[in-house]
Order: sequence, then structure tokens, then C-alpha cells
Amino acid sequence: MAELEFTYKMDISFSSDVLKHCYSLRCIPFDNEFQKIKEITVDISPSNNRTYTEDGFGNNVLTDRITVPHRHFGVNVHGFAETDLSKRQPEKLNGIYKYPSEYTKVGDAITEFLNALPQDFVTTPVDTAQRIIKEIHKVFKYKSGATSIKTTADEALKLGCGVCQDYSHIFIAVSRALGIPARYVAGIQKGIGETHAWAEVYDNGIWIGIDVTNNRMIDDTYLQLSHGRDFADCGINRGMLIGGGLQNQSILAEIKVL
Amino acid sequence: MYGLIEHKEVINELLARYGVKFGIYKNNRFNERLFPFDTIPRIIPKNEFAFLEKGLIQRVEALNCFLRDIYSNKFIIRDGIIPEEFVYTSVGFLPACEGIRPPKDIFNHISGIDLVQGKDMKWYVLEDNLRIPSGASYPMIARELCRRASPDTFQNNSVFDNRSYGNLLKEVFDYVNTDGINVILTPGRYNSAFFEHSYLAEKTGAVFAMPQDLFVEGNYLYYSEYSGEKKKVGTLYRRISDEYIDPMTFYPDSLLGVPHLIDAYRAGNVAVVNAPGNGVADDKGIYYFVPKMIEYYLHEDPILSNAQTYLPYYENDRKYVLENLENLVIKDVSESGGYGVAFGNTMSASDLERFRELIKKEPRRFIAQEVIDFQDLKVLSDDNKQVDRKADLRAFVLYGEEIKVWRSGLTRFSQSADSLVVNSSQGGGFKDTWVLSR
Amino acid sequence: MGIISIKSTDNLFWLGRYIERVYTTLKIFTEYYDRMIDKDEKYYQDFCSKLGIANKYSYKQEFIRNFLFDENDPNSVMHNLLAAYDNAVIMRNELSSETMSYVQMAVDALEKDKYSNAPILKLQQVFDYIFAFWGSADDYVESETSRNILKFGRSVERLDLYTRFSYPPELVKKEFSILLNRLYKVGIECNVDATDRLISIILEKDSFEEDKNIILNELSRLFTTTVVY
Repeated sequence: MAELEFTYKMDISFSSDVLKHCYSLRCIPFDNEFQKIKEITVDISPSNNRTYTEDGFGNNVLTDRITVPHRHFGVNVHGFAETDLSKRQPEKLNGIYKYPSEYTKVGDAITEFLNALPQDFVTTPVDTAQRIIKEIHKVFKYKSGATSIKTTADEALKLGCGVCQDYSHIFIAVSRALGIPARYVAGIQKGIGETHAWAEVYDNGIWIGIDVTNNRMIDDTYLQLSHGRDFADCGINRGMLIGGGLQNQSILAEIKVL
Repeated sequence: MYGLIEHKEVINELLARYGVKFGIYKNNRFNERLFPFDTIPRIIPKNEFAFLEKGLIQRVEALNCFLRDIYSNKFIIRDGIIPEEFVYTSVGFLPACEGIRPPKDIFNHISGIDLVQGKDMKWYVLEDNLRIPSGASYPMIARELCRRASPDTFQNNSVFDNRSYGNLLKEVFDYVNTDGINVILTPGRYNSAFFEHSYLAEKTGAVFAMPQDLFVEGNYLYYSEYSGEKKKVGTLYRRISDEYIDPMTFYPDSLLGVPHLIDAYRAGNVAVVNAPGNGVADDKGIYYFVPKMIEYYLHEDPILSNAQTYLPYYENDRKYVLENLENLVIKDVSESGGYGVAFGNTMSASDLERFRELIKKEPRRFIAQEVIDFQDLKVLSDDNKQVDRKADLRAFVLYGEEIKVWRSGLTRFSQSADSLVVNSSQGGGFKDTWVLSR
Repeated sequence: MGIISIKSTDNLFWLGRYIERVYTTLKIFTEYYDRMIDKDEKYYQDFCSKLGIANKYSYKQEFIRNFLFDENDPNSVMHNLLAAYDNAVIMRNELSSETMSYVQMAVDALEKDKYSNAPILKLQQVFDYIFAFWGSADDYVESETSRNILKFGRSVERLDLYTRFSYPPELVKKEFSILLNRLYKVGIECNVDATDRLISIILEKDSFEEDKNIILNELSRLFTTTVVY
């Protein structure tokens, strides 16, 4: 069990007026049996008719449509959570997590990776997951700026380097191909920095989180914002805007363990 | 009936006057061409149509049950009726629609069921169209003109009036409406079925909108009026495909969509006709399972037959398909509109071999069907001779308070005598479909 | 019905304008055509300069053919008629299929006329369809607002052309009163500034030759649709 203080701040400044702006934000953490939100404040500016909804994957989504011209868009989410992964309850598996999705298609690079795996590689989901991660770390290195938000698992693996999103995608593609259901999680990890992404594998009704990038199991110091088939389902800020010119964005995500 | 047939030319001229056109893209250029009308009607006797009606209602009801089930409990997968990968790998299956319960639990408000009649006079369902089936407007307007051309013909034959389609459609809109106006949304005039969009708006009295006229705020969909007021939309009959309707959920680059539409729809604040995500039910791979759906959900025997279909996914079927490829029709499940259809009997030996390899490599991607020996219909040729053409029938089934079959349909015929493809994007023309009331 | 968007009002306005542009320029064109027969071969130069278009035609026949039929020439009758069609085709439910059909037929007639050996003779059909269009609009366009916007567009265009071709001031004044009348009925935002200026010139002066450019400019500002997406 852990008590966490969390912060998610995003600021975008525009070089010219944004005339119309629609957005869907997935930056409100889950409030469930293993991640209780004790207190939360959400500041967004500008704001018009802020609406809380849920999407098809069960994520919290905050939406709005702004027609007042603006040159700055700011989001500030702050609060306290109590996490205890041991309280996680069994869930029914949605079959979509067994098949490739847009970002986790099996291309040449993933196929080659799969072919190189030794025989009898697949054992229990968690054990197999850990072994997949070891194999990934042998051929994939952390490097920011090498990939973009459009890079697929296969493309990233071909490049041989990338960030947490790419690690997770490669893992998910491989895991699903080996018959282990897997999904993508966006969230915040201990310390101060950007948002993080990891993966979960389905083991006997329970989703078990694994930080592919850092090669470790998810523990109570991680905070979950959303999950889905891949990055596309978990966009923290998905927007559509008219006008705005050049954008300058800064993000700060922080977890303090109390 | 001769009084009607002889006016073919004039009726076609009148159709041109009303702009009855079909848009096609060729070499990246948008061209509109007239949709040739043949005055010899397809006539369906009363009893025969009563049989079709029963079968179509049954099929459409089962398909709606399937859609409701597949976006919630998925019992049909649990119970092993449909292998799960046919659902989860279908391009028409939209996980973003998981758990949505549309107003009145109706998903396929408008179904276009494509049928053909075999030489044995038996009807077969070739395809279900549950996304945005088009074509009803053509026989509607053609009937209007035929009645002008030859009132005697209609006086002497008891033909159900098909011009009520607009009212039937409006009844459906009103039934599912969540307390707002009815809107028909078109992607714009460069859509192949633009004539139909605007014509149906006229005939249903719905507001005709382009994407920029609509917006979502606070989970409600609105139409913005010129006065600056906003009108709440209760039913949206959108003629834009799923992947473009909401850039916040699907293709982020879509300019045709309405941001947050899916949120408003999920919240139950607007009826979207037809429901997003219906593509999973009219997938060519799922087609095979429709008779099984009827047994599973309705506990009835299917009234209408599918064409004899094989799924290479199943080992026995695959074996049969590989051995008999030259006698079968092969369809690529990811293609539509008459594309991705190949006839084994016209393939060269090397093409057959190539297809065999493809089927072995990706069995899930194809279905194979026995070629149905179509019943030919008479068509008036340019020199006024009656010639034989292959034809199909698209029946329109409307799901509102009740399920109703429109007592007409779109009969399309192939351009040349040897063509088996009757899709309008592939040339050819159309006929009126008479359903006799006596 | 009566529910229409800003975009739709824009389409109706421009439909009215383009239909009128085709009609009045054709009318003026036939007068010039007649005079070119026996008097002045190059008289079309005057036509171009009054209309405010570049004279890129090197001889009479070229002018006649291109000005009437060249759809790629943005000043041609064909181009303007197609522009009318573009605005009409997306307004079928407001206009009705019946009214729409006259725009369609005008286009078809002009297109057919292109291949005729007596094109001027056959222009009559285009006139006929335009008359029928307005008649049909009166009967079949249910919304009064829509009808008013349509006719408002017609008045604006007519005033524009009358001014360019120096029509008698009485005619201009008469058309302007019709426009004002329409303006109050339309009930949509119009440029008050522009209206006032036009009133001060057209209603109060007896000759507009000096104010031509001001009138044209104010007319173009009169109907202000701001389409906010």
C-alpha cells in the first residue's frame, strides 16, 4: 500500500490565436478498488462546458469545445491517491487484447524477433513477460527523439531504439503473438518528469503491470491514467484545433510517495 | 405495360432533369454520370414477396441481436457459435463502441440486403449492408416518373406504391429520436450518393447538414442556425462512414466528422443512424454465420438461404476451396463495392495458383462461394430489343417501432451480358421493383 | 422547416446572385451582339470594360464563344451558371427537387448549345429555364426566409450590373427599393454601414456616375456571412 501525491501539468502556448478547439483529455486517474482517489483538483483554462465522460475502454475522459480565441491552453491536475495492487479484482477479458492493433501489428521486424526466440519460450504469463522484456532489452535501447507518436512497434524495433511508448508497443505485439493477452497503460511513475507508459498482461483474470522500459514489475508507486489496445486509445491530450500557428508545449508529471 | 416501356427515353431524360446521378472517381477526377434506368420492371408476386418479407425481418432482427450482443456480453463468442477472431480482427468491429446502448436498442435502422434469384427461382442472400446502404432514392423517383408516363399501367396492375419510403424513414427517425430535430449529414456533394442524401432530406423533411453545421457541447449534438441559435439534434442520419465521423475517436485527421459525436452518442443523447460499429455484422466473413445467428438468438430456422459459402478458416472448407477454386467465387473480406471479387472460372492457371497460396497464407481473409446461376431479367437495349442481363435486388428493411420491409427495392443489372457483377460503381443500370398487392 | 445554417444562407444568397448574373449578362450580351452585327466589330471591348473583366479576346467570334461557353474562363456565362449549380445542388431540400431541376436544365441547355450552329438563337432556352426557376422558387421553396435570401441575392447582383452598365437611375432606384424591402424582411445580419451609404447615394442623388465604385464596393459588403467553424 502507498499514499501518493500526484501532479499532471500541461501548458501549450500558441504563436497565433486558436479559433476553435476541441479536446479529449485522459489525465484523470482511475478511481477503483486498487487506486483510490482521495482528493483531486482539475484546473483547465480556457474552459467552456467541461464534460466528464468515459470511453469504450473504461477510461475517464474530460472533453470540451472552446470557441473563444486563445493563445494558451493549460491543464493542471493535482491530488492524492491510495494505491494497493493486492486488492486488484479479477476482470473478464475483452478479446481485443489478444489481437494486433494499429500500433502493434506484426511486421517483418517483430516476426524476426519471434522467430529468434528459443523453443518452449512460453510458460506462465508473468514469467514469459519477464523473459520477453529481457529479449527486448538485448536489441532495443532507450533513446528519446528517435521515434515519434506515430511510430509502430515494428518500425521502432527496426530502428533499435525509442522511448517507453515503443518499449511497451513492442512488448505488447510480441506478447499477443505468443498468445498472452496484453494491453497498454498510460500513467505516471515515481519522481518528476514526463508521463510514462507500460504494459499489462492478463493472468488468470488479473491484469499484471510490467514496466517494460525499466524492466520491473509495476508496484504501488505507479499511478494509472488510462489503458487500451495501444497508444492510440490512451492519448492524454487528443485535440483538434483551428488556428494556433506554432505550438510550444511543456509537460510535468510527478508522483511523490508520502 | 407497353405504354410504360416505350417511354424509356423520356423517363431517362426526366431523371437527368432531376439530377439523378451517381458520382464516381476515375483517375482522381470526380465525375457524375447518369444512372441508366430500364423501364421493364422487376415484378415480384404478392406471395413471393410475403415470403421474402418474413425472411428479411427475421434476418434483420437477428443481426440487430448480434450487434447488441457483440458490443456488450459477447455470448455468441462464449458459446462457440462464432470464432472470436472473426469478430476481433474484423475491420468493422470498433472497440471504441464497446458498451454503448443506442436509443431503443436499435443498431441497424436501415439494412440493405442484397439478394439474387437463382434459375431454380429460389432467393439467396448475397450480402448484408448495415452501414450506410444506398440506393432507395432511385426507384422512388423512377416510380414517380413511370406513373406520369403511363398511368394506365399502374391502374391495371396492383403495385404497392413505393414512394412512401421517405415516410417510413421518417417514422424510424422519430421513433429513435432523443428529443431533438432530425438531421441528415452528408460529407458533401462530391460523394457518390450525394443525390440520394439531398433527395432523402427533401422527402423526410429532415435538416440537411454538412459537417461544419454540427457540433457537440456538453455531450449533446447541436445544429448551428444562421441566427446563432443552436438546435438540439435527436436523430442523426449520417451518410459518412464510421472511421470519419468523429476525429476525437477515429481518424484524427478527418475533417468530415463532428468532434465528440461518439461521446454524445455514448451518453444516449443522440440516435446515430445506423449505429457506428455495424461493420462487424456485414463483414463478408461474418456473413457465413448469419443463419447460425438466427438459430442462436431467435431459436428459429432461417427462412432465407445464404449462397453456399466456405470459410477457408475451417480446415475442411479450406481443402474443398483449394481443390475446387476454378468453380468458386472468391471474395476478399476487407473489400466492398464489387471490388475484391474474383471468379475462379475466369482465372488463368497462374492466377489460380496465386490465389491458392494467398488462401493458405491468410485463410481468414477470404470466403469462397458456389456460383449461383442467376435468373436473367429482360432489359431494353439501345436498339429497343429485349436482352438478358444478370440482376440483383437490394431490399431495404427499416427497423423502428416495428421492422418493416419496403415494398420495392433497387434492382441493378449488369452492363454486359457476361458480367456477373451488378454493383453500380461497376457500370450497369437499375430497374424499378414492383411488389404486387394482389 | 425554417432551420438553416449560416453556410446555407450563403449558398442561397450566391445562388440568387449567380442566376441573376447569368440572366442579366446574357440579356446585355444579346444587345451587344446585335450591335456587333452591322456596326462595330470590336464593340465587345466596351462590354468587357464595363463588366470589369480583362479583354483577352482577340476577335468577335472568340469573344462570343468563350464568353458564353468556356467553363474555365471565370467570367463566362457557363462558369457562372455552373457556380449557380454548385450552390443549388447542396440546397435541394430547401429548394425542392422541382426548383432544382430548372438549374440543372439550364446547365444542360447551355452545354448542348455549345455545339449548336446558332448558339444565340438557342439561348432562349436558358432564359426560359431561369424564368421557370424563379416561378418554381415562389411556389416550392417553403421557407420565406430562404426565398427572401435568394431574391436578396438577385437584387444585389442586379444592382451591381445595372450600375456597371450605367442603367437609367430610375431603374436603379426601383431595384434598390425592392432590395431594401427585402432586406427588412430577410431578418439576417446585414452591414448597416453599407446600407446607409447606399441609401445616401442611390435614394438621394440623381446620377451615380461618380459614385459607381462606391456603390459596387458597398454592395459587395452588404451581405456579411461570417462562417465560424
